[in-house]
Amino acid sequence: MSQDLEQAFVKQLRENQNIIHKICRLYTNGEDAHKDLFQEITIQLWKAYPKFRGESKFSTWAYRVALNTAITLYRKSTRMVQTSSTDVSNYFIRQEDYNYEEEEQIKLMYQAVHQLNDIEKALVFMYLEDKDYEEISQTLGITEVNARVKMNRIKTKLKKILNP
Amino acid sequence: MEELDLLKKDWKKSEHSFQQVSESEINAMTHKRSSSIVKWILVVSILEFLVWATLSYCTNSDIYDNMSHQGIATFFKVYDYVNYAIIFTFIVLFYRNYRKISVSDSTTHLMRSILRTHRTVKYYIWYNLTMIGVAIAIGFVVGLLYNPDMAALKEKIAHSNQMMFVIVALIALSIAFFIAVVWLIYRFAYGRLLKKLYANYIELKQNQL
Repeated sequence: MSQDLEQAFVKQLRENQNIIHKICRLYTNGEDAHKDLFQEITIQLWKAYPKFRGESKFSTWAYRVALNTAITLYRKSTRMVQTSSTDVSNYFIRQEDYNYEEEEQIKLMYQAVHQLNDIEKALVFMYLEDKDYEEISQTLGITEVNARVKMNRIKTKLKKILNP
Repeated sequence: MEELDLLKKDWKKSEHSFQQVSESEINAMTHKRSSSIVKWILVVSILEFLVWATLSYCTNSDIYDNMSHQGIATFFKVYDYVNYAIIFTFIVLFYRNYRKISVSDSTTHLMRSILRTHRTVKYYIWYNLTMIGVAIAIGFVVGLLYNPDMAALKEKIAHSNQMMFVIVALIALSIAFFIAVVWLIYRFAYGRLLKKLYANYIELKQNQL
Protein backbone atom coordinates (compact mmCIF):
# COMPACT_ATOMS: atom_id res chain seq x y z
CA MET A 1 0.00 0.00 0.00
CA SER A 2 1.24 3.45 -0.82
CA GLN A 3 3.01 5.64 1.66
CA ASP A 4 0.53 8.46 1.20
CA LEU A 5 -2.32 6.20 2.19
CA GLU A 6 -0.48 5.06 5.27
CA GLN A 7 0.38 8.61 6.24
CA ALA A 8 -3.22 9.73 5.85
CA PHE A 9 -4.35 6.78 7.93
CA VAL A 10 -1.84 7.36 10.71
CA LYS A 11 -2.81 11.02 10.93
CA GLN A 12 -6.53 10.30 11.08
CA LEU A 13 -6.05 7.57 13.62
CA ARG A 14 -3.92 9.74 15.86
CA GLU A 15 -6.61 12.40 15.84
CA ASN A 16 -9.35 9.87 16.59
CA GLN A 17 -7.46 7.54 18.90
CA ASN A 18 -9.63 8.29 21.92
CA ILE A 19 -12.42 6.23 20.35
CA ILE A 20 -10.16 3.19 20.53
CA HIS A 21 -8.87 4.03 23.98
CA LYS A 22 -12.42 4.21 25.28
CA ILE A 23 -13.32 0.83 23.83
CA CYS A 24 -10.13 -0.68 25.26
CA ARG A 25 -11.05 0.78 28.62
CA LEU A 26 -14.37 -1.08 28.63
CA TYR A 27 -13.14 -4.36 27.21
CA THR A 28 -9.84 -4.83 29.02
CA ASN A 29 -8.36 -4.79 32.50
CA GLY A 30 -4.92 -3.37 32.92
CA GLU A 31 -2.43 -1.56 30.79
CA ASP A 32 -0.96 -4.51 28.86
CA ALA A 33 -4.36 -5.75 27.75
CA HIS A 34 -5.33 -2.20 26.80
CA LYS A 35 -2.25 -1.90 24.59
CA ASP A 36 -2.79 -5.31 23.05
CA LEU A 37 -6.37 -4.59 22.04
CA PHE A 38 -5.42 -1.10 20.86
CA GLN A 39 -2.86 -2.68 18.56
CA GLU A 40 -5.28 -5.27 17.17
CA ILE A 41 -7.91 -2.59 16.48
CA THR A 42 -5.25 -0.47 14.73
CA ILE A 43 -4.28 -3.45 12.54
CA GLN A 44 -7.91 -4.14 11.64
CA LEU A 45 -8.56 -0.47 10.86
CA TRP A 46 -5.48 -0.34 8.68
CA LYS A 47 -6.42 -3.52 6.83
CA ALA A 48 -9.92 -2.19 6.17
CA TYR A 49 -8.76 1.35 5.38
CA PRO A 50 -8.31 0.91 1.59
CA LYS A 51 -12.04 0.11 1.40
CA PHE A 52 -13.01 3.10 3.50
CA ARG A 53 -14.15 5.59 0.89
CA GLY A 54 -15.20 8.35 3.15
CA GLU A 55 -18.96 7.90 2.73
CA SER A 56 -19.13 8.26 6.46
CA LYS A 57 -16.90 10.15 8.82
CA PHE A 58 -13.65 8.43 9.78
CA SER A 59 -14.79 8.41 13.39
CA THR A 60 -18.14 6.72 12.61
CA TRP A 61 -16.37 4.07 10.58
CA ALA A 62 -13.70 3.62 13.25
CA TYR A 63 -16.38 3.11 15.93
CA ARG A 64 -17.78 0.20 14.03
CA VAL A 65 -14.48 -1.47 13.16
CA ALA A 66 -13.15 -1.02 16.68
CA LEU A 67 -16.28 -2.45 18.30
CA ASN A 68 -16.34 -5.37 15.87
CA THR A 69 -12.73 -6.11 16.66
CA ALA A 70 -13.31 -6.03 20.41
CA ILE A 71 -16.48 -8.17 20.26
CA THR A 72 -15.79 -10.57 17.42
CA LEU A 73 -12.26 -10.75 16.10
CA TYR A 74 -10.07 -10.18 19.09
CA ARG A 75 -8.33 -13.09 20.76
CA LYS A 76 -6.45 -12.31 23.89
CA SER A 77 -2.81 -12.78 23.12
CA THR A 78 -1.41 -15.80 24.90
CA ARG A 79 1.64 -14.01 26.16
CA MET A 80 -0.63 -11.75 28.18
CA VAL A 81 -1.20 -12.52 31.81
CA GLN A 82 -4.86 -12.14 32.66
CA THR A 83 -5.32 -9.90 35.65
CA SER A 84 -8.33 -10.65 37.78
CA SER A 85 -8.60 -7.22 39.24
CA THR A 86 -11.25 -4.97 37.77
CA ASP A 87 -9.68 -1.80 38.97
CA VAL A 88 -9.60 0.04 35.71
CA SER A 89 -9.33 3.53 37.03
CA ASN A 90 -5.62 3.45 37.76
CA TYR A 91 -4.03 3.43 34.38
CA PHE A 92 -5.31 6.61 32.93
CA ILE A 93 -4.54 10.04 34.25
CA ARG A 94 -7.20 11.39 36.58
CA GLN A 95 -8.38 14.92 36.87
CA GLU A 96 -7.98 16.45 40.28
CA ASP A 97 -11.35 18.11 40.72
CA TYR A 98 -13.62 15.46 42.14
CA ASN A 99 -15.52 14.79 45.28
CA TYR A 100 -14.70 11.56 47.03
CA GLU A 101 -18.20 10.08 47.28
CA GLU A 102 -19.04 10.66 43.66
CA GLU A 103 -15.70 9.27 42.63
CA GLU A 104 -16.32 6.14 44.67
CA GLN A 105 -19.71 5.65 43.04
CA ILE A 106 -18.23 6.09 39.56
CA LYS A 107 -15.56 3.53 40.36
CA LEU A 108 -18.24 1.05 41.40
CA MET A 109 -20.12 1.75 38.19
CA TYR A 110 -17.04 1.02 36.09
CA GLN A 111 -16.56 -2.23 37.94
CA ALA A 112 -20.21 -3.13 37.36
CA VAL A 113 -19.94 -2.36 33.64
CA HIS A 114 -16.88 -4.60 33.49
CA GLN A 115 -19.00 -7.50 34.65
CA LEU A 116 -21.33 -7.18 31.65
CA ASN A 117 -20.88 -9.39 28.60
CA ASP A 118 -19.34 -8.17 25.32
CA ILE A 119 -22.64 -7.24 23.68
CA GLU A 120 -23.91 -5.40 26.74
CA LYS A 121 -20.66 -3.46 26.95
CA ALA A 122 -21.10 -2.40 23.34
CA LEU A 123 -24.55 -1.01 24.10
CA VAL A 124 -23.31 0.79 27.20
CA PHE A 125 -20.40 2.18 25.20
CA MET A 126 -22.70 3.65 22.56
CA TYR A 127 -25.06 4.94 25.22
CA LEU A 128 -22.18 6.72 26.93
CA GLU A 129 -21.16 8.10 23.55
CA ASP A 130 -24.66 9.59 23.11
CA LYS A 131 -25.47 7.45 20.07
CA ASP A 132 -29.17 7.16 19.30
CA TYR A 133 -30.96 3.83 19.04
CA GLU A 134 -30.97 4.02 15.27
CA GLU A 135 -27.18 4.11 15.14
CA ILE A 136 -26.85 1.48 17.88
CA SER A 137 -29.14 -0.89 15.98
CA GLN A 138 -27.31 -0.26 12.70
CA THR A 139 -23.89 -0.81 14.22
CA LEU A 140 -24.85 -4.05 15.90
CA GLY A 141 -27.18 -5.19 13.12
CA ILE A 142 -30.20 -5.68 15.36
CA THR A 143 -33.63 -4.04 15.36
CA GLU A 144 -34.20 -0.79 17.21
CA VAL A 145 -36.77 -2.51 19.41
CA ASN A 146 -34.24 -5.14 20.38
CA ALA A 147 -31.64 -2.47 21.13
CA ARG A 148 -34.11 -0.75 23.49
CA VAL A 149 -35.07 -4.01 25.16
CA LYS A 150 -31.41 -4.87 25.66
CA MET A 151 -30.60 -1.45 27.07
CA ASN A 152 -33.43 -1.73 29.62
CA ARG A 153 -32.19 -5.15 30.70
CA ILE A 154 -28.69 -3.81 31.07
CA LYS A 155 -29.96 -1.05 33.37
CA THR A 156 -31.73 -3.64 35.51
CA LYS A 157 -28.66 -5.84 35.51
CA LEU A 158 -26.41 -2.97 36.55
CA LYS A 159 -28.80 -2.06 39.36
CA LYS A 160 -28.64 -5.64 40.59
CA ILE A 161 -24.85 -5.69 40.50
CA LEU A 162 -24.68 -2.42 42.43
CA ASN A 163 -27.32 -3.39 45.00
CA PRO A 164 -27.15 -7.15 45.36
CA MET B 1 -30.73 5.34 35.63
CA GLU B 2 -29.03 7.88 37.79
CA GLU B 3 -25.71 6.02 38.09
CA LEU B 4 -25.45 5.57 34.35
CA ASP B 5 -25.83 9.30 33.87
CA LEU B 6 -23.17 9.91 36.48
CA LEU B 7 -20.95 7.54 34.56
CA LYS B 8 -21.70 9.39 31.35
CA LYS B 9 -20.61 12.64 32.96
CA ASP B 10 -17.34 11.10 34.04
CA TRP B 11 -16.94 9.39 30.68
CA LYS B 12 -17.03 12.72 28.90
CA LYS B 13 -14.76 14.33 31.45
CA SER B 14 -12.10 11.68 31.08
CA GLU B 15 -12.24 11.86 27.29
CA HIS B 16 -8.88 13.59 27.14
CA SER B 17 -7.17 11.69 29.90
CA PHE B 18 -5.75 8.83 27.85
CA GLN B 19 -2.04 8.64 27.26
CA GLN B 20 -1.77 9.53 23.60
CA VAL B 21 -0.17 7.17 21.11
CA SER B 22 2.23 8.92 18.73
CA GLU B 23 2.18 8.69 14.94
CA SER B 24 5.38 6.65 14.88
CA GLU B 25 3.85 4.17 17.33
CA ILE B 26 0.74 3.86 15.15
CA ASN B 27 3.01 3.40 12.16
CA ALA B 28 4.79 0.55 13.90
CA MET B 29 1.46 -1.08 14.81
CA THR B 30 0.24 -1.15 11.21
CA HIS B 31 3.17 -3.44 10.39
CA LYS B 32 2.44 -5.86 13.19
CA ARG B 33 0.63 -9.11 12.54
CA SER B 34 -3.00 -9.55 13.46
CA SER B 35 -4.02 -12.23 15.93
CA SER B 36 -7.70 -12.11 14.96
CA ILE B 37 -9.84 -15.23 14.83
CA VAL B 38 -10.45 -14.71 11.12
CA LYS B 39 -6.76 -15.17 10.48
CA TRP B 40 -6.72 -18.33 12.57
CA ILE B 41 -9.79 -19.73 10.85
CA LEU B 42 -8.01 -19.21 7.54
CA VAL B 43 -4.84 -20.93 8.76
CA VAL B 44 -6.68 -23.90 10.28
CA SER B 45 -8.90 -24.26 7.20
CA ILE B 46 -5.99 -24.29 4.76
CA LEU B 47 -4.35 -26.99 6.87
CA GLU B 48 -7.56 -29.00 6.78
CA PHE B 49 -7.96 -28.72 3.03
CA LEU B 50 -4.40 -29.91 2.63
CA VAL B 51 -4.73 -32.81 5.06
CA TRP B 52 -7.94 -34.11 3.49
CA ALA B 53 -6.76 -33.68 -0.07
CA THR B 54 -3.58 -35.63 0.75
CA LEU B 55 -5.52 -38.28 2.63
CA SER B 56 -8.07 -38.86 -0.11
CA TYR B 57 -5.26 -38.99 -2.66
CA CYS B 58 -3.45 -41.68 -0.65
CA THR B 59 -6.48 -43.85 0.10
CA ASN B 60 -7.64 -43.80 -3.51
CA SER B 61 -4.33 -44.95 -4.98
CA ASP B 62 -4.32 -47.83 -2.48
CA ILE B 63 -7.72 -48.98 -3.57
CA TYR B 64 -6.70 -49.07 -7.24
CA ASP B 65 -3.78 -51.36 -6.60
CA ASN B 66 -5.94 -53.99 -4.96
CA MET B 67 -8.64 -53.81 -7.58
CA SER B 68 -9.00 -56.68 -9.96
CA HIS B 69 -12.51 -55.94 -11.14
CA GLN B 70 -12.56 -53.63 -14.17
CA GLY B 71 -16.03 -52.14 -13.65
CA ILE B 72 -15.34 -51.17 -10.07
CA ALA B 73 -11.90 -49.76 -10.91
CA THR B 74 -13.55 -47.48 -13.46
CA PHE B 75 -16.15 -46.47 -10.89
CA PHE B 76 -13.42 -45.43 -8.46
CA LYS B 77 -11.56 -43.52 -11.16
CA VAL B 78 -14.70 -41.53 -11.98
CA TYR B 79 -15.36 -41.06 -8.29
CA ASP B 80 -11.85 -39.70 -7.98
CA TYR B 81 -12.46 -36.95 -10.52
CA VAL B 82 -15.81 -36.12 -8.98
CA ASN B 83 -14.11 -35.94 -5.60
CA TYR B 84 -11.48 -33.48 -6.83
CA ALA B 85 -14.19 -31.39 -8.45
CA ILE B 86 -16.05 -31.31 -5.14
CA ILE B 87 -12.94 -30.37 -3.15
CA PHE B 88 -12.27 -27.61 -5.66
CA THR B 89 -15.86 -26.36 -5.29
CA PHE B 90 -15.45 -26.31 -1.52
CA ILE B 91 -12.24 -24.28 -1.80
CA VAL B 92 -13.92 -21.77 -4.14
CA LEU B 93 -16.89 -21.46 -1.77
CA PHE B 94 -14.59 -21.06 1.20
CA TYR B 95 -12.57 -18.37 -0.53
CA ARG B 96 -15.69 -16.48 -1.60
CA ASN B 97 -17.11 -16.58 1.92
CA TYR B 98 -13.78 -15.59 3.39
CA ARG B 99 -13.53 -12.59 1.09
CA LYS B 100 -16.97 -11.45 2.19
CA ILE B 101 -15.87 -11.06 5.80
CA SER B 102 -15.70 -7.34 6.36
CA VAL B 103 -14.93 -5.72 9.66
CA SER B 104 -16.81 -2.62 8.49
CA ASP B 105 -20.13 -4.49 8.41
CA SER B 106 -22.59 -4.50 11.28
CA THR B 107 -21.63 -6.84 14.13
CA THR B 108 -24.38 -9.35 13.34
CA HIS B 109 -23.45 -9.36 9.67
CA LEU B 110 -19.76 -9.82 10.44
CA MET B 111 -20.44 -12.70 12.81
CA ARG B 112 -22.71 -14.34 10.25
CA SER B 113 -20.03 -14.13 7.54
CA ILE B 114 -17.43 -15.69 9.85
CA LEU B 115 -19.79 -18.49 10.83
CA ARG B 116 -20.69 -19.10 7.18
CA THR B 117 -16.99 -19.40 6.27
CA HIS B 118 -16.47 -21.79 9.12
CA ARG B 119 -19.53 -23.80 8.06
CA THR B 120 -18.01 -24.39 4.61
CA VAL B 121 -15.07 -26.12 6.25
CA LYS B 122 -17.41 -28.04 8.53
CA TYR B 123 -19.38 -29.38 5.57
CA TYR B 124 -16.14 -30.18 3.77
CA ILE B 125 -14.97 -32.26 6.69
CA TRP B 126 -18.30 -34.08 7.01
CA TYR B 127 -18.20 -34.75 3.29
CA ASN B 128 -14.74 -36.27 3.63
CA LEU B 129 -15.67 -38.33 6.66
CA THR B 130 -18.71 -39.74 4.89
CA MET B 131 -16.70 -40.48 1.78
CA ILE B 132 -13.97 -42.21 3.73
CA GLY B 133 -16.57 -44.26 5.60
CA VAL B 134 -18.21 -45.22 2.31
CA ALA B 135 -14.81 -46.01 0.75
CA ILE B 136 -13.87 -48.30 3.65
CA ALA B 137 -17.20 -50.14 3.40
CA ILE B 138 -17.10 -50.46 -0.41
CA GLY B 139 -13.41 -51.36 -0.32
CA PHE B 140 -14.17 -54.17 2.06
CA VAL B 141 -17.13 -55.55 0.15
CA VAL B 142 -15.26 -55.33 -3.16
CA GLY B 143 -12.22 -56.99 -1.64
CA LEU B 144 -14.34 -59.75 -0.26
CA LEU B 145 -16.10 -60.37 -3.55
CA TYR B 146 -13.24 -60.07 -6.02
CA ASN B 147 -9.96 -60.55 -4.20
CA PRO B 148 -8.84 -64.21 -4.43
CA ASP B 149 -6.87 -63.84 -1.18
CA MET B 150 -10.14 -63.38 0.65
CA ALA B 151 -11.58 -66.71 -0.47
CA ALA B 152 -10.86 -68.40 2.85
CA LEU B 153 -12.54 -65.63 4.80
CA LYS B 154 -15.50 -65.70 2.42
CA GLU B 155 -15.85 -69.39 3.07
CA LYS B 156 -15.92 -68.82 6.81
CA ILE B 157 -18.53 -66.07 6.59
CA ALA B 158 -20.72 -68.25 4.41
CA HIS B 159 -20.75 -70.89 7.12
CA SER B 160 -21.06 -68.77 10.19
CA ASN B 161 -23.42 -65.91 10.97
CA GLN B 162 -21.30 -65.08 13.98
CA MET B 163 -18.25 -64.45 11.81
CA MET B 164 -20.30 -62.15 9.62
CA PHE B 165 -21.43 -60.23 12.66
CA VAL B 166 -17.85 -59.88 13.96
CA ILE B 167 -16.62 -58.57 10.61
CA VAL B 168 -19.43 -56.02 10.27
CA ALA B 169 -18.92 -54.90 13.87
CA LEU B 170 -15.19 -54.47 13.27
CA ILE B 171 -15.76 -52.31 10.22
CA ALA B 172 -18.39 -50.23 12.00
CA LEU B 173 -16.14 -49.77 15.01
CA SER B 174 -13.12 -48.74 12.99
CA ILE B 175 -15.21 -46.21 11.04
CA ALA B 176 -16.70 -44.87 14.29
CA PHE B 177 -13.28 -44.64 15.92
CA PHE B 178 -11.88 -42.80 12.93
CA ILE B 179 -14.77 -40.33 12.87
CA ALA B 180 -14.50 -39.77 16.64
CA VAL B 181 -10.80 -38.95 16.40
CA VAL B 182 -11.35 -36.49 13.56
CA TRP B 183 -14.30 -34.93 15.37
CA LEU B 184 -12.18 -34.40 18.49
CA ILE B 185 -9.36 -32.80 16.52
CA TYR B 186 -11.94 -30.65 14.82
CA ARG B 187 -13.49 -29.56 18.10
CA PHE B 188 -10.05 -28.76 19.41
CA ALA B 189 -9.12 -26.72 16.36
CA TYR B 190 -12.25 -24.58 16.32
CA GLY B 191 -13.75 -24.97 19.78
CA ARG B 192 -11.64 -22.38 21.50
CA LEU B 193 -11.56 -20.17 18.45
CA LEU B 194 -15.31 -19.88 18.05
CA LYS B 195 -16.68 -20.31 21.56
CA LYS B 196 -16.76 -16.60 22.31
CA LEU B 197 -18.13 -15.77 18.88
CA TYR B 198 -21.04 -18.22 19.21
CA ALA B 199 -21.88 -16.97 22.69
CA ASN B 200 -21.91 -13.35 21.51
CA TYR B 201 -23.90 -14.21 18.41
CA ILE B 202 -26.61 -15.89 20.47
CA GLU B 203 -26.62 -12.99 22.92
CA LEU B 204 -26.96 -10.50 20.08
CA LYS B 205 -29.82 -12.37 18.41
CA GLN B 206 -31.74 -12.78 21.66
CA ASN B 207 -35.10 -10.97 21.66
CA GLN B 208 -34.69 -10.25 17.97
CA LEU B 209 -38.07 -10.43 16.23
